[in-house]
Amino acid sequence: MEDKDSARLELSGPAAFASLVEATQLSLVRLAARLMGNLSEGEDVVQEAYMKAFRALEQGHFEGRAHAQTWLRRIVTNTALDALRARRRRPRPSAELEDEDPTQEGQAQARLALAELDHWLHTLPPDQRVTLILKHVEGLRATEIAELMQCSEGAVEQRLVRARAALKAFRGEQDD
Amino acid sequence: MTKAEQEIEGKLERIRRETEGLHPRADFSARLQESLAKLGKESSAPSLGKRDMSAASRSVRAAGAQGSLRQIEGWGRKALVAAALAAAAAFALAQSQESTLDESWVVNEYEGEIDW
Repeated sequence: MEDKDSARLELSGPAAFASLVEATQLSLVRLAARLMGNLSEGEDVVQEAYMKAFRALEQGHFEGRAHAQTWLRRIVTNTALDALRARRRRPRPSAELEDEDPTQEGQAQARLALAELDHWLHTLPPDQRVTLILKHVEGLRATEIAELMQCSEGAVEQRLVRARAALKAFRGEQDD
Repeated sequence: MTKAEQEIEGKLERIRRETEGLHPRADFSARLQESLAKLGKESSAPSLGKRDMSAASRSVRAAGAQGSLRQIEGWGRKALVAAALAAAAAFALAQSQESTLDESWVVNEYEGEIDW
């Protein structure tokens, strides 16, 4: 058991959940937007992920075995997977481009790229889509993806093979 | 690697580059803080004591935007829990009073005994 003095020492440090959010929100929004293929849905995913993290911390479900950043990325990835599965059950009418934010000049190209990604990968099952993006857009290794998605490295490789095969077949259909 | 696979990876690499500068919209932080504040108000935090919440609330006030991932990754679970609750309380108070954090408010909201 930890003694009270050492616990108090931990608490007297200069950081807080506010700075955890401050330090991680940019990379998490980018990750979620790529997974969702859409900035506003990516923001929703990150917001929900922080809520889950907050509740988990409060209930003592984070035991400190993983780094806080890895833990948050895992929550974001799982939340995005859930959102993608829900989207497949209720498909959006069309791949709409979001309203332009006048404070974000220069974001147009990034949003177009997201829309292109979303359109291109929309036929893939969510787990294959997420695995492919984590591997080739986020640049993660198979071990890191397996940790985030809580599956084996073999499952990661299998999803990548299937995703590539599906995309090749999709391209073939478009060429016909 | 086949030509088709090279094309797939090339396209994903281009999308990675084009989305590298992507950042949240201007109102994202405000929406997030509002949600955290709401959660903080609903929270009961049964395992945290007054002195710990005071320490955590001082941490929040001192932290500002200077926290770094390197610092955060070293935290233990208890520190994160306390910091999360204190941050949510700070957000709630800043929203309702537009003032600096009032420790007595935080302490009153989170009465309880330390159980570690």
